[in-house]
Amino acid sequence: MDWTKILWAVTLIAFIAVLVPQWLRWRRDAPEAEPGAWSSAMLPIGGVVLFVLLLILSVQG
Amino acid sequence: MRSVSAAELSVLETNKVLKNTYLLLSATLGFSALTAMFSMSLNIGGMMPLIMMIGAMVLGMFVLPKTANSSAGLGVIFLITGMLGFAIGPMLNMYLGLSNGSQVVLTALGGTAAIFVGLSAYAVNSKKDFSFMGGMLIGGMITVFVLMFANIFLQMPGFQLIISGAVIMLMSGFILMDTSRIVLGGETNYILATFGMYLSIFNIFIHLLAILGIMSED
Repeated sequence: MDWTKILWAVTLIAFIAVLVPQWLRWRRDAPEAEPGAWSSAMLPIGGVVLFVLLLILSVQG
Repeated sequence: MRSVSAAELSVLETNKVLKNTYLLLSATLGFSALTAMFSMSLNIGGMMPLIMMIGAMVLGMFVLPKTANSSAGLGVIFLITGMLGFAIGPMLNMYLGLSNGSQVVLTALGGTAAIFVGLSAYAVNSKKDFSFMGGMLIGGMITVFVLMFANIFLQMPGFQLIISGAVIMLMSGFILMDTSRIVLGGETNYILATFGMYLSIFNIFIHLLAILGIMSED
């Protein structure tokens, strides 16, 4: 294994170590979703997924 | 002369943060493009891009929050975005080396811009609070980092497609959440707001590039 992969692996572990406390804090403090809030967030994200599929078709064509 | 109410002042302040964020975002993206072109012309390789990326993330996590309330924060954010731009130069050279490389890079660039503009317009106009997604988005990023760690050893293009698809969806969620926090007054520092938006755009671009590179005929 080359040094780039080792450095990348160490970096990923460091990112995870930094993010876990933030994740626990968000789980504790984040506001509750109102009724219908998830669907209003998933609608544009679903649109992004469809758009990416279109982009894939455009580079394959 | 009509007096300005507290609610109107709050809206004016929010609009100012949003305007300053988009102005700084445009400037930092332009600066990144310049440093990316510079590193492409130098044709750097080896561990330099990764070291630049790690350095930029360390600055973003530990130095930027301490300087964001002063003018030094502007220098730090330009340094971070310049380093990130410099880091992707070799990757852009690799994609441009494909037979349809310029099409792949331009499609990823245009696609990223369209995704960002569409999601921002949705968040600004809907005025909904998307901060309830914070825990899920950060949990998703941790999962993605674990998958990336596994893929260092597995080296599977199919696995890379799943990771890149997940990152694009998560970053889309971050754009919705970050924009809604500015619009609703939850984020008042435009330097920190710019850093969050920049990272989302940067990640969408490099992962869209990965997906299009794998899925194109090359």
